[in-house]
Amino acid sequence: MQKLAFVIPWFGLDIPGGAESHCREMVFHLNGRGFPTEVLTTCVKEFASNWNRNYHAPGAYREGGITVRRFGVRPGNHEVFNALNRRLLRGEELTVQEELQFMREIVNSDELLRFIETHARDYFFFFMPYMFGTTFWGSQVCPDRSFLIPCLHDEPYARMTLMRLMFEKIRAILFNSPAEKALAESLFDLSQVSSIVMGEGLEVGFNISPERCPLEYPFIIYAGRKDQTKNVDLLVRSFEVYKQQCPSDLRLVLIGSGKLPLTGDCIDLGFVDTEEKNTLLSAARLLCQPSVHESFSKSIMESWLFARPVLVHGDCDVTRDHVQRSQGGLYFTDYYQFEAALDYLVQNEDEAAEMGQRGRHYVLQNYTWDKVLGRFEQWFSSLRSR
Amino acid sequence: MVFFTPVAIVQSAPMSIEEVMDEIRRRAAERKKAHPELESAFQKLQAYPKRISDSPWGDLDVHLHHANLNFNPTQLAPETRFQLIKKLVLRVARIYTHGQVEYNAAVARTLNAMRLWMGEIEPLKKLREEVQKLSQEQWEIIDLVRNLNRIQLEESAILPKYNVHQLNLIRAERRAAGTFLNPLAFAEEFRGSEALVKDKQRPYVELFHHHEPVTDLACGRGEFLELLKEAGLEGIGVEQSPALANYVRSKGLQVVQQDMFNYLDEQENDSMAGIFAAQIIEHLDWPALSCFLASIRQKLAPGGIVVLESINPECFNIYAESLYIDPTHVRPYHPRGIQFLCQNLGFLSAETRYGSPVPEKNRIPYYSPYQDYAVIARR
Repeated sequence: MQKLAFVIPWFGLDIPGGAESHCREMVFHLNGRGFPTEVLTTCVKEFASNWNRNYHAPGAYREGGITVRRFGVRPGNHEVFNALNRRLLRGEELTVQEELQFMREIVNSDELLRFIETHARDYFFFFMPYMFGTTFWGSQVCPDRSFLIPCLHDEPYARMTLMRLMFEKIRAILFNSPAEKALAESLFDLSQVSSIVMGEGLEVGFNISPERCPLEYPFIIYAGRKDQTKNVDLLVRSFEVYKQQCPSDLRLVLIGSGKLPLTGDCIDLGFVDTEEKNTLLSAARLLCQPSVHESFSKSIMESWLFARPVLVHGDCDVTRDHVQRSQGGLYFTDYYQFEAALDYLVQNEDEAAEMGQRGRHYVLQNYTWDKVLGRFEQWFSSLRSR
Repeated sequence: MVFFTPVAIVQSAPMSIEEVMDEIRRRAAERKKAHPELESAFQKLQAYPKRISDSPWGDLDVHLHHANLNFNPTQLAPETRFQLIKKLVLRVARIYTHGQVEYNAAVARTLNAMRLWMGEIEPLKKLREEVQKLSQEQWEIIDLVRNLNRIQLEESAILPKYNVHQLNLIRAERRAAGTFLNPLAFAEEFRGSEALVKDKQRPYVELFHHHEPVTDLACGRGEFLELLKEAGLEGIGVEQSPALANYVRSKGLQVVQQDMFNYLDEQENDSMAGIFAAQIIEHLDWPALSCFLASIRQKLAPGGIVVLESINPECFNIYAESLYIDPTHVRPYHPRGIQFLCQNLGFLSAETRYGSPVPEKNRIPYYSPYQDYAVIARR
């Protein structure tokens, strides 16, 4: 039986990141269901580390019962990359030549490509996420055995010409949400490409009691990386304005990596372990997800699993779609709506609890590992039999 | 393909979030009315550039306008109260503010100049967009060429057919070009009188002794056939235009009304003794010319001779007259190029002769005085 190889720029049992943890969990669960699965990655440690440095030694590792093959990175030119990246993020369009240069400088491994080329017949390759050298170059080697798990956002990278080449020539695409698929279809011509909306899976059956939460005040929570692209700034300062307008003992608790300048009403607990995170999620009044660049948003699902409502940004099709389908929370598009929605959820505890329950039901119906892998198995076998 | 749509949760409870959202929007609108200042605070928070299409110059022009209005703080607006006192104070303060005003003015002037300059960049940006679009198309062409290469490698048998196909296209184009012209009037206008043409072509007759019959390709009004007949040599004309062919026939000369490419195709290989092709090649583009010469080489008998007469690009006078007078001319070919091609195609020898000299007074120093040349190639 051919193996499934998940190709990702970096891999580790404890590294942060949405795509990273999605990959980790996919690999372990697929392996558990009898699919022989491996990970192909570079020797780089994680997103936040130096992309030119081989943190791990090249070679095959055994991690959590899975074979992880790590290959040395080909160092890129940091300055060229940063210059092009800045221009992209400013919204400038690059020429195809510049885009190619960008792809040459972004994290990449020649050894990995060679491995894919020589072992193409033994594997099906699943590349993720879309915006890295390993994915772009890797998927060019044997497109008909290549699958893409893009984790696509509406951002300047998605509008690169090279992305069109990749998305339109790959064997099949696995989307995390219907909104992500709709975005891809608006950007690319996917009429010749198979695709499935698979979603991410969640672990259920925790034994968590909110009483164990060490925090003695009521709080709302944000869980995730604290960087600009996630719109956390917006949440923090909106919350500050909210507190000035509607004084109370409510606080905003942030968990996850990254740093932000904060005032007294916002508390950053940094990176916490899973159990602590679950305790906090279950004790929070609600979870706020201000990001407009989400392809799935696992954190709102986790909040729902603990029957807590969510407040999301209305400009993000993915999260708003989840909220509207599940009836499990509210959304905002400006400060006044943020204020009114937050006020509503804090003041009306019964309605908030009701929304949380509906959210939980939605997750259990759609996004447990059992449901997600069931969908995957059915689709993958139909694809292979063709 | 399996489609999956997340199961929506049935609204069992009386409350739907859209109802709640309506209430929230209503409250938000009220608050916005009461505290419009909070909105701007919120907008400034949107640090991440989500909308990339907004003009970057909207705010800039407002700021620049302010700079232009306010660069001189010692100038009072007309409706200012206590003008006299304030003017006095400002006059005293001018000792200190003079330098600042100069500085402000310099900055404002610089900013204005830069803003103008930015306006000039706009067309350049558009140009860059064009270039980007082109490079995208180039990318598509690269793909196309790659595919074509692959197909050609896999099915190399297609190649000869491809040439035939190309030839058919050329023929179709030639027919289209010829249909709206009156060939006789055309020849009179652009080739000159028959007597003149005969004078020009007379020197070529002696080359064809012992190379009969001579085929005159695109023989036109049959001037060269007449010269051959006068010298007692056998000649056959080939002419595509029915009007010209009939005209030649009416002179009692032998002529085949046919496209010259088709005519050559139909001849046996190594069978033709002599070929005369005057003022033809400048009507052909490069693919057609290469087919034409290869075909002649194939059909000519061993020891056979071909004369290719054409306008001479070494002579500057042709650019003022003969080259562009005839709208069906594609381009002139350099005699050395044609000579090289003949040698390269395996003709035994190829030499160039010049004719039709420009009158003395019209000559341009350093450039060839001959308006025509003929490459004479022997097999």
